[in-house]
Amino acid sequence: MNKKAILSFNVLMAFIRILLLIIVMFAIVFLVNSAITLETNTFDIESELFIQQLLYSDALMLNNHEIGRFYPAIIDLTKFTSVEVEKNLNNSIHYEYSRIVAAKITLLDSGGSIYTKSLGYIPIGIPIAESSYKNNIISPIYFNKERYSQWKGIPSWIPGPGGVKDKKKNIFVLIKEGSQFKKGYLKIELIIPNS
Amino acid sequence: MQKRGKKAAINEETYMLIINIVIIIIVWGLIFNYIRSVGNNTLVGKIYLSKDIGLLTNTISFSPGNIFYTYSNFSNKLDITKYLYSFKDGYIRVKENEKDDQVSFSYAKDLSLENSFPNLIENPEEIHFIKTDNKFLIDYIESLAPWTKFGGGSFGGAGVTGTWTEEDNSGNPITTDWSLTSYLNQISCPNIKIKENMESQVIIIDPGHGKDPQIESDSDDFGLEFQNKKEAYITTQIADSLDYDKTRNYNTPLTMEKRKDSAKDAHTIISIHIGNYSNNYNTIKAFIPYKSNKFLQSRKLACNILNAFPSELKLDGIVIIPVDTSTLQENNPLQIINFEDKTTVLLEIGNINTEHGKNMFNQLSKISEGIYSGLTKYYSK
Repeated sequence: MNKKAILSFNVLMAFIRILLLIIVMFAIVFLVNSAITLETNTFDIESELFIQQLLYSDALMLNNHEIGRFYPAIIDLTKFTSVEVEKNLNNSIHYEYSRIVAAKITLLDSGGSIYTKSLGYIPIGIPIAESSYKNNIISPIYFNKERYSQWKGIPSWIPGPGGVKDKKKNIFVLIKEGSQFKKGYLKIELIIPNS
Repeated sequence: MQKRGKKAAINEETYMLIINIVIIIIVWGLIFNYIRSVGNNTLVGKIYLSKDIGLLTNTISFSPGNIFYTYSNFSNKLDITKYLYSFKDGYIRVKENEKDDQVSFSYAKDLSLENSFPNLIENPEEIHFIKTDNKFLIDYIESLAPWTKFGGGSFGGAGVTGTWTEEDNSGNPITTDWSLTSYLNQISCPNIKIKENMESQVIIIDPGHGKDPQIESDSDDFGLEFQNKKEAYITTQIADSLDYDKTRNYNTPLTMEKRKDSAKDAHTIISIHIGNYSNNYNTIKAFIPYKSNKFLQSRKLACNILNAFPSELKLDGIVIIPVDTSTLQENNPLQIINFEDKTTVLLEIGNINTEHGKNMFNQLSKISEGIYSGLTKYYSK
């Protein structure tokens, strides 16, 4: 091999080495970036906190103003069946501009069927003959209904912004209907967007 | 010729070695710089703090009872003093400077509470979350270093209790205790609206202690033991400082029946008694009639008055006691609140046998101010 050939071979190798070095450097930056988590995943805390907020909300639960005692997880059926229940819930858990959670709340009886009011309740504005209300079904009610319908259609496996995460939970509650206390469940289906 | 070729080859190797070293230095410099920039990145910290404080705000807002929570560097591993915190438009924003709007997290409010959040907190040492008396407020302390000059005085101690030292007019230091936990001595009041105006209402003050009508004497002091005389004097002083009609005077003997009769046209009755116990507790108790049409109103009035007593009175506690007045004997002092259609409260203030109680009764104007503030709050729309 002559001198010129050796020189061009070395220069070529140097370029290849530099190229490799650049590739390795970017690989390091990429690996470090992928290992650093900028976002703190708080979905479990946020969803559990919202469920607790519902259980401690004056908009749904029994509150004896006379003795100043609040009863978490005891549903006051008068409040639950009020026409203003969703408005009251919004005032109780009030997000000023952007609401980061939406939920469907269904009251179930102890057998897991939708709770029906036994005292002859007919929702206001609904004809008594309406077949779907024959059994006095009183739920579901919604928190942030508009967003719930919007987010409901998004599959929860889609990651990143635009995606949503959902959670379903049944909580054992007592239901105060008139002077009676009945066993039941509060079924909460909530959706929280990823961003 | 062969010699020259060898020399050229050595020069070339040296040349390549130098290039390699330069490249290594450049690459090392770039990676080092990158790692430093990752280390100095505050974005993760800001995201963490915004979510942590936002979720904490939600948690405290919806927790039952009174809460005092101090958020500081001990609450997490981040230095909270590095940042500015803004609670505005339902968002908590954690910033490095006022224009920084990069990181925010929304929190929920309970609109039945009176929410008071600061627009901007700059480099706080502690952020205080206080939920009490139907209020939720967020407060902060910029510096808690002992003896740091702050607003005309200096703090001694740290945390939620300590001393506050100011100089009087002659330059002498005056040191008093301070306690942020005094916020916890507050009761949540019934969320009912009072339609009546204070001006249109007949308010009667009943001094609970006075001359005994069972014992006849010409002397002003007769019928009163020394201790009772003291209690009568204190209740009269408090009653006199409130500009309302009274059921009796200190030295005018009146039966309970006549006192009740003089209050028959009143809308609101406040009876004032002084506590006399052998224990060491200096408390204020508010007795209200349980079986009354105005039970909730009486409870709200009692609650507003109790919450209005200032922390300087050093109370060990406040409490509302509902009483079944239907079975009371005729001469029972609680008979004065035994009305079905009136808002009535019997206050038993302090304990005359304790040091704090004795100090408290040297500041009678603060007690009267407390009662008046409570009344005003009760009737405020």
